[in-house]
Amino acid sequence: MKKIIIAFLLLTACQLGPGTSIPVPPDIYIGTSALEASFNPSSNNNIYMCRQSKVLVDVRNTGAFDIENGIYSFIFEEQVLKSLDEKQVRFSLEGKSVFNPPGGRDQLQFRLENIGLPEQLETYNSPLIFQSCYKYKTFASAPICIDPDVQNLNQRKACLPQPVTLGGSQGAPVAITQVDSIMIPEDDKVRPVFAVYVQHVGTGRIVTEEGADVACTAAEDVGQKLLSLADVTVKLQGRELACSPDPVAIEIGQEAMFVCEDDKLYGLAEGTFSTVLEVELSYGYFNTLVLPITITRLPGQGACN
Amino acid sequence: MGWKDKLLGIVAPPAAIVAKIFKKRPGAAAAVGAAAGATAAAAATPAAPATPTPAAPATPAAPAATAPPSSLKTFAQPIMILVLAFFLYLWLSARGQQTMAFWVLWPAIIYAIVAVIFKDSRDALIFLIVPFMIGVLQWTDHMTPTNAIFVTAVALMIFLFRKDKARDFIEQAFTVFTYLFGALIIFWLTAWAQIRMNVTYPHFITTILLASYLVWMAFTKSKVKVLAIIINVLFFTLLFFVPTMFGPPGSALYEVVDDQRSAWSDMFSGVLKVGQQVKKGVELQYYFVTGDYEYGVEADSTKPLGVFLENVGITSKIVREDDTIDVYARLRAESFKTEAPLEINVKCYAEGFKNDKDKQGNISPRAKFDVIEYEVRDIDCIIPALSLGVGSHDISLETTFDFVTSAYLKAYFMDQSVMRAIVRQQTDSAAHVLDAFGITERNPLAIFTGGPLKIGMGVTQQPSGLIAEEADSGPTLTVTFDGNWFEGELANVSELTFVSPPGLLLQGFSNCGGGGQEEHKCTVKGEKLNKLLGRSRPITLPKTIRIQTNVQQPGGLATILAGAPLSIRSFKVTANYTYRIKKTIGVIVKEYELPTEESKGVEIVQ
Repeated sequence: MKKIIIAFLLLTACQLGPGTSIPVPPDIYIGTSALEASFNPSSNNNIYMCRQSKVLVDVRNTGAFDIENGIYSFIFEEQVLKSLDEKQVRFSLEGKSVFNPPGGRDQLQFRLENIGLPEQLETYNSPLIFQSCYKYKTFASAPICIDPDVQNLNQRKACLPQPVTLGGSQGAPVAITQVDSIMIPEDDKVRPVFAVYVQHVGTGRIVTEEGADVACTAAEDVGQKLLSLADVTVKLQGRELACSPDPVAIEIGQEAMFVCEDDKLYGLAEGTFSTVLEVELSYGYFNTLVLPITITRLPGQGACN
Repeated sequence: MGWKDKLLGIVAPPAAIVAKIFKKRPGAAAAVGAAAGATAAAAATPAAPATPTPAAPATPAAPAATAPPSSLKTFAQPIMILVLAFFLYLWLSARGQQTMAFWVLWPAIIYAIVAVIFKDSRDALIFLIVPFMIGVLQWTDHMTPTNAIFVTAVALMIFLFRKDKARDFIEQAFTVFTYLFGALIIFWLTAWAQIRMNVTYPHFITTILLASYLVWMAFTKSKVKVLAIIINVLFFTLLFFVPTMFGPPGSALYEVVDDQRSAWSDMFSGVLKVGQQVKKGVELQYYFVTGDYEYGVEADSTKPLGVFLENVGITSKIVREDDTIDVYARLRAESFKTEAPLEINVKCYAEGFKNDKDKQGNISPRAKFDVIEYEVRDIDCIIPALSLGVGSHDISLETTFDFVTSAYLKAYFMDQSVMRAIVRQQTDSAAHVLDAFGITERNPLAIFTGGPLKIGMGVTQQPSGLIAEEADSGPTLTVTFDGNWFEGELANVSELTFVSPPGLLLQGFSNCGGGGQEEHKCTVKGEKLNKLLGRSRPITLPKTIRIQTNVQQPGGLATILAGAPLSIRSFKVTANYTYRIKKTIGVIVKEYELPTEESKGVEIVQ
């Protein structure tokens, strides 16, 4: 009897309390931003002549990809201002994940000092530009249909190859908007070809992956690195497809397209089936932010010592 | 029925009796009586015309009314009215109303004289209204000799205007008079109005009236045009150059004339300035189109920078020749702390005699100041009136001061290849390279500090695309010097300093320092400066200078960019110069008058 009671209690233990819903993991592949930066309101952008000032920058990776080895860079007028901290800093920042849904965040501190103003000038305005450059990726999984029966012999197919719309964003500034599946007959088989449409939906600028560093430093030969090109990786059932153009040029405000072709041919024997097309875009990205700095001469103030 | 007809109705019966007494022309009395009867009948019949005319023979008396005036009528009516007026005069005098009595008798006498001379006893009746008008004036306490004369003059005018010949004559006389003396009349009437009302009114009213008159005179055909031109030239010449002719100095009239002269003088200066500005604007547009002019904007400042002569005045506009002329002013120097003190020199002299030591004044407390930052001084210029002599003079208060004006131009620099790469990815034709960096000010204007000199700057292109290996890929800097104040002149420039950002080298200068990781600074003075700005003094503005810059080799580009794709740098120009401003004020030196015997006898008793 005692064993029966214990067994009963064990079986009913989770059901005696009030009912609770099973937590659904947040969809992290939503959003059009990557690194979001803003000057903290407590930043002091009014500097007195010959004095220091501190600027704080709040950064958040609100995209779905982790940033590694990115660069923060501060650009300012070095004839008037002197930096007391490093102008360029390497950084890494975790993106959104199921364990960290809001994404990683950080605060940067940058100190400046005025080194003097031209004679007779009471105030001087100069911009402080904050630039962040990093590599980023866009992932998307599109449900597609492989249909070797181009003549529609089978009226009761599991699926039909149709354009797949992927919504507006995947948690990155470059969005894969649509995938069209085309079955091209070759002998008695078909070769799946996919037209993938992408669009720049972020507020920053796209450069090549290699250009991510160059955009902030211009330290080496620029060449083609600053072109807004994204490398393409498309996989179907674990196989990487050949895509063209690769890298794809993504212009601001325009939709770009690339076509990927499967090496494998599908025959009628394999039947019509649904599967997932995995699309990955790799690119460099940079954001800029401007803070106007005002330098004011104190009454009676001469040159800085 | 008109008042004249009523009056005629009243006086007609006694007139008929007088006519009977004379018995010279029997029909005359009948005519007079008929005329009176006709007018009386016309008054009684509203439909009938008030004045008998040949076209209205409704009443029997009408033909008589058209008859020529007889000599009886000519004399009888005036005599009757004179008699009546005389009795009225006696009655009023007896009542003690002497003034009224006077103004009853005199119009009657005038009436009688006019009626006899013009042989028109009817129209002359207008003068009989004068006593009534005088009565009204007395009743309203406005009885003055002027007003009484005015009323009489109006009556005379009304009478004369009823005469065709007189009217034509008056009209012609008036036209010719206005044509010849319009300017004088307008000027005197406005001056008189000012004096009477004791208020100053906007001088442009007089100006507009005079301008209208002059236009009318210019475009109207007249036989006396030449005379009118001579009179006007004479009048305006005297007005401007011998104002004392219009009234003694210190008198109300003189003050009014002087105010009007000052207003015209200011107006002329204003128009001249506007004209100069328009001319300058056209010139600037030309220079700008041809690329010879660069603009700049004055930096915000809590205080206006420069040296200012304020509240310039004279203790007395009229000075006796044994007295001294005292022109005073407030000298205010505003600057930010300078490395070297600014020197200010003040001088005053009779206009046209700048270098005549006898006609220069002494500046009190002193004529030279050194200013570091801020200074306000009240200064006085004392000139013995005797050294200038009797007459009208202009005294100029002139200050010459050293000043510094700085200017800077923000410039953006990029590696040419980076710039091209960014441009390539911009599909929007309106997009700019700087958009990629969030910079909205695509073509910054030079900022110059306040003061009398304006410095504009510009570079070939923003941002400037530089090539590491090509030294001559540096931008060309264009600098324009121009006047920032309406008044004054650039007396001299002692030094110009040009500064380029680290990594760029200014070309064409010998006296330079810095370079490498520091700014490249070149100072120009002496002969080199004369070559840049010309030898003439004061320096004619605007002046534009072009300076070529080179990318320092090796490593200049890396220095400029400092590891960033874009760099923000500045070109700077500093000018040390001497500026001169002048204020002029008028004074009249009066002849010294020896004290009269009477004034000697005046004793002041306290």
